Amino acid sequence: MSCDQFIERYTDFRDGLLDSETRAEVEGHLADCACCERYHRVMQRGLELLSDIPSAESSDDFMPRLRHRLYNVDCGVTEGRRSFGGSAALVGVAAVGLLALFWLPFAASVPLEMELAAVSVQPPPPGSADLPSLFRSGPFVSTLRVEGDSYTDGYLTEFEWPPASAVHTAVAIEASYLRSEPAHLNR
Amino acid sequence: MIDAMESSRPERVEPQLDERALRANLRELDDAALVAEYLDGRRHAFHELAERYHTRLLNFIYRTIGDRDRAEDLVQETFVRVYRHLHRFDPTKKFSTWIYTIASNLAKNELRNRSRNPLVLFQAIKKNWEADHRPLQWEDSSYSPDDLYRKRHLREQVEKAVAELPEHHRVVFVLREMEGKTYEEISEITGVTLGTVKSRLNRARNKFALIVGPMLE
Repeated sequence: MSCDQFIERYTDFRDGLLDSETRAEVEGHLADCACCERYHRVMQRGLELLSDIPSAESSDDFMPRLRHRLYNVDCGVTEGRRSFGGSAALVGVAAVGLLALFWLPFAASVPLEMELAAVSVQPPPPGSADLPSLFRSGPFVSTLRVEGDSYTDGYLTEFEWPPASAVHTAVAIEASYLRSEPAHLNR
Repeated sequence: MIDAMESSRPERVEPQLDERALRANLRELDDAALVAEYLDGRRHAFHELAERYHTRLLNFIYRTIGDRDRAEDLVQETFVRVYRHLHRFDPTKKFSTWIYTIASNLAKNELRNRSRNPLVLFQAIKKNWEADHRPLQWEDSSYSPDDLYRKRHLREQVEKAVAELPEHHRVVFVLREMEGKTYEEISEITGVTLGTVKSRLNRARNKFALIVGPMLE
């Protein structure tokens, strides 16, 4: 047997797939050929080292992450199941939106009332220049009108405190509703 | 298609058994029985399959693509795909072959995408460089530091040798040498003929021997 034939049959030899006759030929060649014997030894040692390599372990959060992903898969299926209902709801919302658009010009004359989170502001100590928290900069979606001065939607970025007029030196507001009408400030 | 998938998806009707006892029972079952249990509505059966395969798949994908973190993502993706399509699994086939086929395809796609994305390639090189320069940690005090260093160094070189194999050869090599799959299983997983499996394995082994030869003598 030549070295080329040995190499050609080596995989079958290694995996025990050769018939007894061929196997004996390969073993005979291995005993006679230093080069192929070296090849076999290197392969043996290399594969042993390979099997010695410690197994990579999954991170601790592998299973929780997987459970979360599978949960999302289930949710996705549920959405798919309800896709027809979802589309119908979307059409409904669009219809209501269109109606609201037509109704809006008539609604402008009606005082608008909206529910906000309850707001409680303590009056500042007498003589303090600090603003009550309601009047500090921040998101505040409404129209607040104080005795003819209007502070419009979005952010209340400017507010004069203490107010020029003596009537505002102490203010307390407790409200869960604010109207677009002038706000009622308890003095 | 979604309807078809849903119709066979098991409902969440888990009997209120003691969870430990339930898991212990599931551990006794083989893969085919676990798949049947899951399709019969026992969701814990899927988690048992995941427990059984996640480390094996992680090692297989990691040895194939050479990036541990990404390998973990791909193992997750493998399970998600199995979860979605388990009702289509042919029970006359081996579950392990099927799940390895999915994992192998994901690993191949990953390698293909990387070859098109130089940034990912750079990150992989950087990661390997960092691994090469990490401080040594002695894992076993019964060996001398020299022995441990040599053994660790050799292991790393052998790992590198696997990473240097051409992609097609590497997948076959890892499946055979590290996962202990038969030729028939490798043929099914990789979708190539038995002859091709043998020829690729032979070439992979030759190349492996050529790379590791100089350092093992």
